[in-house]
Amino acid sequence: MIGKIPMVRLTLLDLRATLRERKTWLAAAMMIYAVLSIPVLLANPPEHVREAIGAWFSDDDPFALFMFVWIDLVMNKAVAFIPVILAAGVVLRERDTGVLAILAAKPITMSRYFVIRTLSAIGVMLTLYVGTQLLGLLWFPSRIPGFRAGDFLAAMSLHAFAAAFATAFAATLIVAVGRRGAGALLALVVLGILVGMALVGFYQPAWYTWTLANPLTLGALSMRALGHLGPGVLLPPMLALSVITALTIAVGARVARRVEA
Amino acid sequence: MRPDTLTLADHLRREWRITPRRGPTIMALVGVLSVAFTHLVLPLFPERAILFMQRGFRLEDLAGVLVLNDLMAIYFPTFFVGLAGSLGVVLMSREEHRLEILLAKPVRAADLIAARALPMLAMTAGVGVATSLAAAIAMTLHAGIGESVTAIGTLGAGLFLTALAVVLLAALQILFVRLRDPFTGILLGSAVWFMTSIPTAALLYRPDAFAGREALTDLVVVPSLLWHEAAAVWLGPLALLVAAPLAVLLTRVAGRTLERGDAL
Repeated sequence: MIGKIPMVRLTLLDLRATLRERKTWLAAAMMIYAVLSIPVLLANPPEHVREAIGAWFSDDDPFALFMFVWIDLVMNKAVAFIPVILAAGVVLRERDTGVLAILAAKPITMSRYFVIRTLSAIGVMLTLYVGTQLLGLLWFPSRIPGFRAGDFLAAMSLHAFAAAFATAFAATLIVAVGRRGAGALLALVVLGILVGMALVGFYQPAWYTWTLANPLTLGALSMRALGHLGPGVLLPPMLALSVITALTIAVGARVARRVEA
Repeated sequence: MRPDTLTLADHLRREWRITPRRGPTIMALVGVLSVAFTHLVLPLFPERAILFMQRGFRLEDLAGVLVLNDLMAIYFPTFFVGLAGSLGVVLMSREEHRLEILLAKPVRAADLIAARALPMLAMTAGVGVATSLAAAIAMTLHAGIGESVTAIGTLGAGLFLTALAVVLLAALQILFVRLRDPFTGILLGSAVWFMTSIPTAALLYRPDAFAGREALTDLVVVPSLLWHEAAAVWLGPLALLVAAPLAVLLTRVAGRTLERGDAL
């Protein structure tokens, strides 16, 4: 019987298996390094950096500088790279290693299998993501002047939706390309461009509205209102990112139908 | 020709014929478009954003800011097209259980690695050279942005980063012949790329950490190629020339590692 319960169980089994893989542990080690090193990087920022970031985000609090560096330099880069690594094997690894023929004999469609594997990759990404923020929550208060735990968690909750989108996007793009290496390269380039453009609307306010079409800009919108984050600021971009992610997975599920063993 | 008389040159010719061209061509295009984007869009940023980069990276004018962004448009696609191409050397074959079949043929493992890695590294260098030329042409065409960096200096700096990418990728093959999961390899390769880029970010936020360490700073941060533009003019082509034999040597070491280890 294939129903809702087997799908959830398959997703959880796949998630557990991926969490045990070496690449997941390596990604976790990289994130721990980032948490530990960022306070060192921000120990003595030069005046012109403080001034510029204060002007871009209308907030000269040292916490705004920290959040800019944490989102732009660390988490946006993580969101460009780690999802590609996690999503690169979705469906295509099974095809390339000859497992897809066995799966084809099981009562599960390729679309559904794609959804399971993508949700599992998103689950692993979010596990790494949440773990990183929780570690930061332990480490940053004593290292970052003016660190605000509540605002940090609120801002990163929104950004986590961008991480989920990036994983779904990478899985869909790689399956659409049909080759893991080329697909991963293309996903890296596209996510790299989206990350590169994510905060452009803050530097050049005239382009702000246009940059809202970039899902990674939506993930960083908390930077606009760090002092007063609340449901009114966070929920609209969260909802938009959820819809975009669901649509991306739907497109990927459709594309996955044409993957043959 | 009997199979047991195949030389490395024969293998190289065969692998060169089947080395994928589409990925490197697309990535060269991405690099060229990124250069065009930088020169068309970055000057439209408010003065504060330009000054931020200028002061942070110790650049004299807009020309320096544009070329620094061009250099990232050279280094990123060049390194990552080679990293993705590295999957085809050993990693994918091992995961798909084809490596055993390949090595059962009358071919030395070291020759197989060299024959597969060197065309990939040549394609990687091609992407870097094409994007460096595009950046140099952009600097020639772009008037009124300052004179701190010349087109030939841009080309030299681009070629230096191309050489760096080629040598790093060749060195990574030694690690890759020991790995079983291709995307662990990609992650480790990405970490190496980050390690070469982190000092430049650190210069922006912690210039005090570099004070009094000029030689180290010149060695580890990308903008130093622009601070010493006259040297970059000859250093870039020379680095690319040196990178070629070094890459051959490193791929041979990777091949020996595969032969000696229980890599199968």
